[in-house]
Amino acid sequence: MKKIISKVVRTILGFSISILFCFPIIWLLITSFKTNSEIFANPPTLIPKVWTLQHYIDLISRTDFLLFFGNSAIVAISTSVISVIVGVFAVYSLSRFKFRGSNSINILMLIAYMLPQILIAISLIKVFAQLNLVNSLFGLIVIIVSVTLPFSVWMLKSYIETIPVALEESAMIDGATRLQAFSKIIVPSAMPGIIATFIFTFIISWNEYLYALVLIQSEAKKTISLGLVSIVMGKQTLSYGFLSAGAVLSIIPLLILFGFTQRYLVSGFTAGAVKG
Amino acid sequence: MKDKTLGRFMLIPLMLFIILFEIYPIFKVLEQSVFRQHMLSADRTFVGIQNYIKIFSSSAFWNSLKASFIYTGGVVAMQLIVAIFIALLLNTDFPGRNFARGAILFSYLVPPVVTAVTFKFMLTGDNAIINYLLRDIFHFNTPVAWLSNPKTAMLAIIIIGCWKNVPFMIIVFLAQLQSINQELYEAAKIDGAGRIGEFIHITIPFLQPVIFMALIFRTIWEFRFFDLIYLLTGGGPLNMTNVLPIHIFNTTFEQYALGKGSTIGVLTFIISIAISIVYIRSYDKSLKKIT
Repeated sequence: MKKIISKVVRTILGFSISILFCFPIIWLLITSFKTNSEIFANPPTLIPKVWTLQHYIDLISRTDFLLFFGNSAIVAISTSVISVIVGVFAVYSLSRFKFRGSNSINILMLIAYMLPQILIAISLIKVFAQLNLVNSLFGLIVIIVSVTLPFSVWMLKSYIETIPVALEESAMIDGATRLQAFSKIIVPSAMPGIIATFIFTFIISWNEYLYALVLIQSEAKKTISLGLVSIVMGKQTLSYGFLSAGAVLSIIPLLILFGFTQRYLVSGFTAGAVKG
Repeated sequence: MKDKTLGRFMLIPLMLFIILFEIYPIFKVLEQSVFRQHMLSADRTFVGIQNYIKIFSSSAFWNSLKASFIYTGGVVAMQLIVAIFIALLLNTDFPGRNFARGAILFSYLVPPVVTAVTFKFMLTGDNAIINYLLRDIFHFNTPVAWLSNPKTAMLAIIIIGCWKNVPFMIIVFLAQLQSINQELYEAAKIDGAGRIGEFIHITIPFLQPVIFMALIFRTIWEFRFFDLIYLLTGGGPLNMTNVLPIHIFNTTFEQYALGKGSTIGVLTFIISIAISIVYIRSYDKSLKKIT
């Protein structure tokens, strides 16, 4: 009897907590389908009396939303690709070769984690200006890598370090070069980790705000983080319907990635945490 | 190509990154902090430690320091408590458990921009959904302008910050809990330990190292966090939530004082390092106590 009560209580708790966590996004979703007048209705309605797609239609056809979306995609994919490639090479090298400075690299990664983003921004802003990297997607990609790369190294470490050295060694005994062993054995074995890391860094890059705020000035180069705000500021009245539609659309890529690979994400967190 | 040389080659991109984005910025801000320079100009004058003196004697800096400590302490403590509770819950079996696990990870995905927009919408105004729920359904006497009321703004951003980042801690704790060998619990049951005994003598010692790791990482991370707070309150109202990163941002990009901004940046970084050292020392001490 005690067990049943306990289970019921825990189920209710679990359900309530889930709702609590999802509620803001659910509310956002609902709001995006409401008409402007209903959004501010008193009392607020949980289910729209009138459903409308107008906000979405307006957003795509009358604003630069798709442009911002595209910019974010370009930046996020690029940063993730770079972070994963550099990360895989670096982690492999560090785990297979005993260099003298290996330990200091760990400390340096930790320090990278401690550096406030704003500090990096103000230190690089002058140089970027001179190199004409300000207000460019390329410059943004470069500086966001500074955020995603430590993450990538941290995540990949646990995947690559657990691949037994014997695998490559037997391949090399059979005549493969180090590079072949790397590409034909290590990379495929670490693929779940590589995918997880890619998704992770994609999400981080997609959500990046500060660097975009500092670097990007022209509308055409804005990423979604900035664009969402400017879409709303450009209108006379603050339209929450518009804003919520934009917000919903901007999360969709993340939801898709998340949905496809939830197990990768969780194992990524845990691998890094338990081992690291 | 010699083996070890290939290994060195593979490491080069990372080394490049470390030099460009860690070593250079640290030295550059140190350098910038001893000059007075307007953001938009190339001229600057050497002022030695004057910036530091100015900053130390400015109430804005101490206010920001206080805000940073309150926010960081509050949000990490809240995350810790919530995460342990939820991780323990998710470690048990009940219908809908997997759904709950996915649902809770959700908030980690959401971009800070969307989070800020959503919560602003939910918290501002009489008809905002949270105010409505609290007032009309739960009958609390609630302040209405959470984010613009100096008394409630900090609490609001702590709760929102917790919502946003607690999934990370939950997953880490859950992973650790799940790695505890069930046989230990069985043995404890045979020995007659109650639920509480089990908790104190098995669960907590296992969790301790992970809690420590999570604490230190979260503290460092929240201490330097900018995006969400800036988007929610801009540092206000009345600078109540003007944490150090925001203060640096405003000094550099609104007051255009590159030298002073760099100075605050240097100080913030030093404080982060100090916090880490304190953490590590106290953990070492507590380890020694156990052994």
